[in-house]
Amino acid sequence: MFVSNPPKDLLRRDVDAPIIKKKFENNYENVTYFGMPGPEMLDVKEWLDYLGFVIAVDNDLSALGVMNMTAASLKILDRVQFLRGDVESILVNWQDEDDEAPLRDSFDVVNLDFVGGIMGFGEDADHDKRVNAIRELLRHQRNETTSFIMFLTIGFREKHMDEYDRKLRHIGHELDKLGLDATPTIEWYFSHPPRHKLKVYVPYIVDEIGRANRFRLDMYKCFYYKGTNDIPMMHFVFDMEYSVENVSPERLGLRALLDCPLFIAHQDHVKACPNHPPPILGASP
Amino acid sequence: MAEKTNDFKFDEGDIGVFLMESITTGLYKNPMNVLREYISNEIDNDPPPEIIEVKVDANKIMISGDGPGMDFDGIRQAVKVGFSTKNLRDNIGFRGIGIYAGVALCNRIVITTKKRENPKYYTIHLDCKGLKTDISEGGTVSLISSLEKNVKWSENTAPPEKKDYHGTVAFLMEIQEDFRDVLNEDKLRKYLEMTVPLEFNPGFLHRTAIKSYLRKSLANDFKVVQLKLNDSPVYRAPFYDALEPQITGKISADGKTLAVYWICQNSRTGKIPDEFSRGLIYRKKGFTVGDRTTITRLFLAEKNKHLIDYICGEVHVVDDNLLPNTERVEFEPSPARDELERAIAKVLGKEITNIARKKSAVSRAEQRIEQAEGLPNTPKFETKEDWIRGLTDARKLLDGLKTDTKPRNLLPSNLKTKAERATKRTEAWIDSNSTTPKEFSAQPEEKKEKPKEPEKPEKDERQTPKLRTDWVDGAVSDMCERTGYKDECELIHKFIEVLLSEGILSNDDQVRSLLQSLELKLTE
Repeated sequence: MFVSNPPKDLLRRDVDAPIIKKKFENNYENVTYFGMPGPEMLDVKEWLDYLGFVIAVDNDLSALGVMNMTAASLKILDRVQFLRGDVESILVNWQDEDDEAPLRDSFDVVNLDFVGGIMGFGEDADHDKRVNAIRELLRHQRNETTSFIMFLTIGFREKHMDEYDRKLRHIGHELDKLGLDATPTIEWYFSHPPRHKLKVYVPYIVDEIGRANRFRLDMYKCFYYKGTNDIPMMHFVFDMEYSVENVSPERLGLRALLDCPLFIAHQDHVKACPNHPPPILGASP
Repeated sequence: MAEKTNDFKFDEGDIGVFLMESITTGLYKNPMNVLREYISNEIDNDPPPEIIEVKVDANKIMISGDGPGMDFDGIRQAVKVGFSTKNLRDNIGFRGIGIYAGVALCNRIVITTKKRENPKYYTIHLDCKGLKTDISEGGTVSLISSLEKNVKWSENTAPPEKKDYHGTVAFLMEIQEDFRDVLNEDKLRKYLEMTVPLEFNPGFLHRTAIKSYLRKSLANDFKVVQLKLNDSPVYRAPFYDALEPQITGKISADGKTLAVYWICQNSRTGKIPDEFSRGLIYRKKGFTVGDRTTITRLFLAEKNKHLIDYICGEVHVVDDNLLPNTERVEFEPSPARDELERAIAKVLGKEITNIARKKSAVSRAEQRIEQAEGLPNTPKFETKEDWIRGLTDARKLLDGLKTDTKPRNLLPSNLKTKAERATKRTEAWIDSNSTTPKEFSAQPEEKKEKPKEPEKPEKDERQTPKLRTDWVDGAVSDMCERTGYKDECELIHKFIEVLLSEGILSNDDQVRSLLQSLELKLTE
């Protein structure tokens, strides 16, 4: 069922589109999109001027039919591929449920929409399926030496909040080893809503996987908004820069990670979240 | 007194799921026919789609069209089995089988559709695997309970800006191993080129004129659609550009038009090289019936079958009483079909024979004109035999040119004029070379024989039948090529030889006259 979501529309239009435009300036016909645009392909429609080829994934068969009609109305049927199945399985197996492989070996714009959260999808043994999918994506991107922008939209899954807490404690220990006392900051995160933990956790994971594949996280942003039916959502933007010389790319500063502002997207504007953790004093590691 | 009869009461348990298998079986002799059904369902719409897209990949097929689409009433109608609101005579689809056409082919069919100004998309979900499992249960499941279990629908709301959007998309998913041929893009392209009422190949020079003729002649039966297979346009034959302008006409019986046709002949010598372009093909409502042999075998005798390869064309059947059979390989047997076949044999048989004869005559005349133009002004003969041979050849050439210039010959007027000029040139050449060259007249033993030959042909030919037979060989061979009656021409050849050896025929003119009258009899 199509329901418009103004904050998400705003992010697509005012945040994501300018980033794509700037990154691929004057080379839009070669830009390949891979993602889960949904039946109405709202992101593709918004970014159409900056996209060359579109690979659209959905596991809902009726959505694929509607997507096809949307692509026809956008007159992009000759530059769109539809893949059927879970995006995680497609990235891991490099083929969809109909044994069809993506028509491009790497992507320039990746839009992943994990409504249920980055963790906790599927059975317990399979709970990191989405992280694995991101790992496979980066491996493919490295093999093709392709820098890209990744948009990641995730919901919250309380079930695995322990994992977020564990990672925050680990960051605190790392900073402690460097002689910095981050305890007040870490405690602040524990006492605040989970969106703040995710703001730290997700970029930390993406940076780790990225560095293992010679990608430097050039820039990232994170936004909080209320999605359809007021479900809280997080939207991340990652600019992943590949370099053959990035044998050991610079890691994301842990202090910067904890200090990074969280933005909140409303109906018609974006503003910085007024709640911010206390700063960590001392030199940045 | 009439016997009293009682009604049976039928209910759900009276119709088994086997019926589904029975009504779809006819489609699967060529699994690609399934695609034709979905395409024709789309084309049957009013208005028909402007463009149909077909995409095949590793294991699924997608067919989409921008036709009017369906609302809820439409999809409810679409899931009915064996019912159709379509008029059988006005539409192509296969007798109410509609969306079930692909059941045997795949495990799942999903059809999403939207009608203009309707705020919703509707999706039909067909669990073909479930249907087939029920069929394999041995007919113990009722058709209705199987349909209820395996046919579902869902709806989605469209955003306001897509209010005006309309169309239908059908996915055939998880294609069965036995039917994987439909996923072969090259084979599918050939099938679509041959079967669907597509736009003509843009390289075909006469496409606009033919399309215009068909639009005018076929009126509501005229159907043309743009189609793309895996994003690349698919066109209809011919895929050969050296074709003469079209010949068009009607095939009628008792004042009623049964079909209209167009034919183009190869403008070069020989057969049309592309096998997918040559020959004639039936079409009804734009879709093909049968293949390129279906019409040929109707009216061309075995010995004349080769003539069909020199032309290409289509016969569009317009008579409402002629309905394609379930597999669409021919028309259903009926008095109307017999009438059509007789009329085709009469009209197209004559048309094609004329085209072939004309083509053959033109080709031979062009060769002879070229030969005449190539006669040297001052020939040099090495030996006396050379001189005799040259003169004999020139006379043979002159005979042929005289035939070319006869009023009833099929040559176009410009070629006839050229042939007349060539005739004069050849006559003049023979005149100027018919006297024995000096160098040869000095040889006493040859002096008696050779110069006499052109001066007294009747006498010579009686005495030397071999020379006459050589001439007859070529003439009979030409006749055979023109008429296509190989066996008859061989008989004529033997007959002439007997007449010559018996001395019954005593000169060229007699032989020529006899051959001409026999050819006339043969072609009539």
